Amino acid sequence: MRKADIQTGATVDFQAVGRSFGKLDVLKDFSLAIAAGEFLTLLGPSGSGKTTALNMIAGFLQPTSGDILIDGKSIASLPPERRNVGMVFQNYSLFPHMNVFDNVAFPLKMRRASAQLIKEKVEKALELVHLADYAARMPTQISGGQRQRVAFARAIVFAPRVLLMDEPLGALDLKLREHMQLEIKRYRDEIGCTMIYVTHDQGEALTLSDRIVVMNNGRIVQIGGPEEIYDRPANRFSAEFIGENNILRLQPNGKAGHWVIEELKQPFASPAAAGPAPQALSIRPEKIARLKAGEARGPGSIAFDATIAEILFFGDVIKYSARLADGALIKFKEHRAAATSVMRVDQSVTLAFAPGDAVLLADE
Amino acid sequence: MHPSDDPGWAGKGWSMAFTAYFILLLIYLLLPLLIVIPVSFGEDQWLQFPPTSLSLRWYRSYFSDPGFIAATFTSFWIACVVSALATVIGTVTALGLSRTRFRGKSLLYGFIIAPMVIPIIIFALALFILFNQLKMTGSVAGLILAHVVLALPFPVLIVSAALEQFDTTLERAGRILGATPLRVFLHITLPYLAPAALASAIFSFFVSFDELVIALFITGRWDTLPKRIWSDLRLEIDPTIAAVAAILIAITLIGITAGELLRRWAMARAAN
Ligand SMILES: Nc1ncnc2c1ncn2[C@@H]1O[C@H](COP(=O)(O)OP(=O)(O)OP(=O)(O)O)[C@@H](O)[C@H]1O
Ligand SMILES: [Mg+2]
Repeated sequence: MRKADIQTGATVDFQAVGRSFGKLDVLKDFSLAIAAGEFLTLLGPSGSGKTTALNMIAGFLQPTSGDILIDGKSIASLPPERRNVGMVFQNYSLFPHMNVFDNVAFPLKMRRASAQLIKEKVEKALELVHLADYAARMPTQISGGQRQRVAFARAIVFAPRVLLMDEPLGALDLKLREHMQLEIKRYRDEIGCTMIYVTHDQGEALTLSDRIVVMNNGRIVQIGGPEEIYDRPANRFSAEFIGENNILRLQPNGKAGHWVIEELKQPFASPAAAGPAPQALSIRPEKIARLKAGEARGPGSIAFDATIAEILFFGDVIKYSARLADGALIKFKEHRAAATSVMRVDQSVTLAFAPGDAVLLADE
Repeated sequence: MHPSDDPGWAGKGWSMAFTAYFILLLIYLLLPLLIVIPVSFGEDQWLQFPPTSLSLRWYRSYFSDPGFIAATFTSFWIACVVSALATVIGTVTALGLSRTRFRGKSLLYGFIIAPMVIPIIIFALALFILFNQLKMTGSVAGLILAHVVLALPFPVLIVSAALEQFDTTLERAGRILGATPLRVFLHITLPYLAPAALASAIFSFFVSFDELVIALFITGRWDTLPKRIWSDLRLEIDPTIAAVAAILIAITLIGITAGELLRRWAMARAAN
């Protein structure tokens, strides 16, 4: 598909949207401005309200408060079929009595396109997902990955300006999921529409998104690009939910910007920041280095002793869990290339990290 | 199965016992039918098994008896009407039951299924009294209405089972792809239910086509095929009946097998 064939994406605005089921508030004061053509991911644990938010854009659910705008216009009064939004469902949801061609043709038929136009557009869409030779197959005659690609073709064939995807790769196995992530990246480069993606897989979110909205309990916890979300988690929830992390508690030390790290019994200083007082710091496992015997620690770095408690061998990387003097565990990892040898359980090590790599966290 | 695969409780001894069991069961089910068929091809004046020589005499006799042919046509068109009505009413009922929640729903379900368990002679007697009151005895419409009640459990049960397996996100998918609720129903839900509805139609057809008791009570002067067979049997035992029976058995087996295959296809497709 050539870019010129496709309309550009629309903006989507959540304005203080709330949704409750009976007494249960599933989304609370949800405000979010999604730019035209953006790939935005809603990331959060099960039950955080991701599907609820998506279903309100689709029109399957109505907000109980607030409003949702597409291209600046409220969609509250539009039924799903008039929103011109595409959607890919987790379990494919291909129509079982139609072959691949008719499945992809369905949205065009509903729009009363001519047979000629339908044929052209369906063929293009199937080419995009590399399934041009499968048009005559029934959904039961193709694999899971192929079904999801058909579902994708069907969702974009009518050039919707917004494409919703609710855990589209959730039903696929790991290998296929990684392959499909690359596919989705390719689609998004070829079609210009705004894409809103839901997942609880943080790796998928980091790989695909322009921006990630981290959600918990129906609230937005943090919004940012993948690097920002990963490098500068705004709070404890983000720090723990995205990637692996170590959380260490901070005790105030009387002076502003000075603390004691409880687990390490070591002072920690940082220029005082605005906002709520930090109660903890997070430090990524890959930011913790092991000091070799006799190696001097870097100036200002925080060093401490530990014993290896657990070793997870991943081939290219080795992940360690080490026990600190006070019994707490700390995770760190080493690349095989840099590591001299694999350590043994109970081996004593000296670990260190640079204060600049630590992120200060308020509880919420 | 690989010899070392664990068969669960159905071990080797069991599989032989099961084979023997199923053979006996088949004989039990089919023996009466297997006797009628050779008799129908006999040459003899009386019902006789085994027949002394073979001929198509009684088939000829059936096809040249205007009373039998008329009764067959009557039964056939009534069964067609019953099948259509029961399938439409049953499908709508199943749809309604699956998409709504109200008090007394299981009670309503029970009422619809009731004709399967109520002794048919009691139902027939009740109808006889009611139709006498309404001066409806002898009316074709009365028989059709009665047969629809009798057939209704089939479409309701079969279509409900299909709907239970139906993934309603398919309907959502239809909506978001641009179909109005009506078009979603016509293009997605209905085609999905088609095999189940067709199976229902076949079963309903045979409920009516071979129904005797109600026909005896309320038809008055005209004949349905089962009723004609019944009255012939009382007058004289003529092998024409065996020929009719053999034809009926063949038609029923074909019809019910088709219905069952459709029903299974509907279920298998739903499972995907
Ligand atoms: N129709 C409903 N009636 C009552 N509660 C509902 C309904 N739909 C969702 N909920 C509740 O709303 C909350 C959020 O649900 P939602 O499906 O949006 O979560 P999610 O973030 O998509 O989770 P998952 O990752 O498991 O799909 C859950 O606690 C759920 O139980
Ligand atoms: Mg969900």
